[in-house]
Amino acid sequence: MFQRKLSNGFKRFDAYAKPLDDFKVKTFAGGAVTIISSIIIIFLFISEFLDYRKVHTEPILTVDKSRKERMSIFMNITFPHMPCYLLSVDVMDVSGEQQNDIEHDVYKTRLDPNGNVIESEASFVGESEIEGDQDAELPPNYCGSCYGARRGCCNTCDEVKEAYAAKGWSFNNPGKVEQCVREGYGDKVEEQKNEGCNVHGFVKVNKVAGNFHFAPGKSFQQNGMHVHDLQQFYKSTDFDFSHIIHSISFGKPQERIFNPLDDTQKETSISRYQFQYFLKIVSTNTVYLDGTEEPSNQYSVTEHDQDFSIGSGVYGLPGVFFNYEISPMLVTYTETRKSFTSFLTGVCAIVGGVFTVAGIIDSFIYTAEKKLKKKIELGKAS
Amino acid sequence: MSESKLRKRITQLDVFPKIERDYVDQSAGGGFVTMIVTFILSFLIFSEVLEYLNAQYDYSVVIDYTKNNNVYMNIDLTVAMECDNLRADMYDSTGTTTYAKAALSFTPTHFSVRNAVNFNNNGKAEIEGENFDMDDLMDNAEKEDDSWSSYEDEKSSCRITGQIDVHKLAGNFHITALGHGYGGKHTEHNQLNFTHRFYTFSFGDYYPGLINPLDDSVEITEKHFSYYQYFLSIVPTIYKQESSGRILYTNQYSVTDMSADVSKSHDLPGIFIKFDFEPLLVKIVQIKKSFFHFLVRLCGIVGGIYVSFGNIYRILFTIYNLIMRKNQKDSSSESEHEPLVAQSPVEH
Repeated sequence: MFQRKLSNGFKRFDAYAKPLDDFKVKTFAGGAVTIISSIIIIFLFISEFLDYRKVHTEPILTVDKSRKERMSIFMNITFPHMPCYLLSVDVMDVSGEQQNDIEHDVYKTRLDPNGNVIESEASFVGESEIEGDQDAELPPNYCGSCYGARRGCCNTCDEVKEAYAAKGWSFNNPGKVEQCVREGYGDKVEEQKNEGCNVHGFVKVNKVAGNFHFAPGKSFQQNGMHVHDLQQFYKSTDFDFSHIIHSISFGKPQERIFNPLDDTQKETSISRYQFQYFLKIVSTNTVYLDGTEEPSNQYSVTEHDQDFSIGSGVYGLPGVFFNYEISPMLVTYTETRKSFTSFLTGVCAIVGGVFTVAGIIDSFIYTAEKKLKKKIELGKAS
Repeated sequence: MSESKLRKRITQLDVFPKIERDYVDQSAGGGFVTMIVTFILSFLIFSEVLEYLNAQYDYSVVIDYTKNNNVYMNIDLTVAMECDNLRADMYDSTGTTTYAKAALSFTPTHFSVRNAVNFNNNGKAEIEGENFDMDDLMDNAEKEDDSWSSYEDEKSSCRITGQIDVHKLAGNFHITALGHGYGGKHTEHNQLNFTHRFYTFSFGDYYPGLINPLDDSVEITEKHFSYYQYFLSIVPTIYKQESSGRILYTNQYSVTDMSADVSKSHDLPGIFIKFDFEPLLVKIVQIKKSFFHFLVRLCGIVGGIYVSFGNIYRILFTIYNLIMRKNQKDSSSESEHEPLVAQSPVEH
């Protein structure tokens, strides 16, 4: 009873009231039009659905107004003809001074001449030389000589080297330094002579123009200048700065970011040779569909290399240099997808539009057919 | 007479011939579908209206075509040193060095870090993020700055304010102590302290309400020989609101900075602001959505949904009827079948 009432109530709302069956005419042409239009609708629906599921990325270029950001430089570079003890990594600011407040996690891996891994150790930025065995037994009250480099005691080979560096002297004859002989320094140098070195890890720096470089020998500040102790390097002509850049990126690797320096290989047989890379870094922010943001950086690069051999007439520090500048622009990639409502609207427009047009065509066919029949009946058709 | 004739003519033009209720079959199913459609339609229309009302921005970057050779540099900052010991200079790539102290006013004041932001090294403060509002920006630009406060007590600091006319070229504005770098009486070392706070620092016409990256930032140092270096890249910017026709010519800049203790090096203590103009121009336009387009979309939605739901319902109904007829033929219980015509009650 109640059901009947409810059903009667609903009936009054029916905007899709159908003409009674008796007044409906079904034609063959109408059926054919229905089938064709259904096929068109299915096809259009599929393409609309695919478009709805597709993720569009829209880049926007704005001015980077962030303050005091830091960025991580991720690197992985192999030097086939540079032993680890000779190689130092330095991060400098734009005025050419060692950056002081950096976090870093850089590892040097010793490689044998065939490129196999020997041993991996954590490295410090600015540090290059091998550490001696400092566990040797020393007599109490021992006070090793600093060989005139400074007053006081130099108990280890490292301390002697530091004292020499502070004085600006080159440390080129470890065989004559008692501390180094005791620690087996000379033997180690000899042993690692033909090795290569892989440097990988990251350095976190302030986002301001600067450079980082791989150069031979320990670096130190002297009279406000950044200098490297090149004595060890010049001893042999076997060393050179051929290198393979496996990757260099300024932020976590991202699918959309292409780092132009990845898998770059540079060969040279000249030991006093300098490679320079000039990078322009553009901040890049990716906003994903779920609203999470991932800041990163892209860069463009220009290369330059130069021969500093004796006789070339120019002087300079051999090594691999990366000079970077920060661009003021910020690229924001925003992932967007069509909203469900606009998908629904699109589908309805397709279905409704196609059916309506099909209806018009059908009624046209029906009318034409009818008129033609009438004419035939009247015998007017020619 | 003629009126009824016209009426007749117009009546003949009706492309929406209606079927009287008596000749149609209204069913509960159809009524149900109508209600669903009404519900969906109102939801879609609502979301469409919301989208229409939402502001939309168009960002574009073009080569700077503006031809103003000079722009103003608006400076307002406080340095924790006495005004007598400070000097300000401007150097640009035309090769001219200007003694900028004449153009600026040096007022003894009290150092305050109120409302200032001290960005630490990991501090990431977005000043103008994704959801900036063009209306706010335009309104702010016209606001007057009334936060000009002066303290009567201890005036050991110096507030430097003013506008300098700069060439649209790379330049270097710096604040140094007398006798350190340039000539003049030598300032005692224990009086050097380049702790500073920016109130505002901008390029172009001065709009107090516009926020720039350096505004309200503070750098505090205990050391006497501190060196602060700012690198500014200035990008000319045009904000445009299509609906109200308001246009704002201004400049945005991005800043990187470094600082160092220079007691052991050759560098000079001071605040150095190095700037350069980018050849690009950023155009941010608040797009005016046409009401006409909105109407077209609305009609598309209403018409499309109404028609397509009708069709779906009709298809389902046809299939249902086919199945029913088949079942009836199978069971051959014709007595249960009543023609649809009889079932429909005639209501008025």
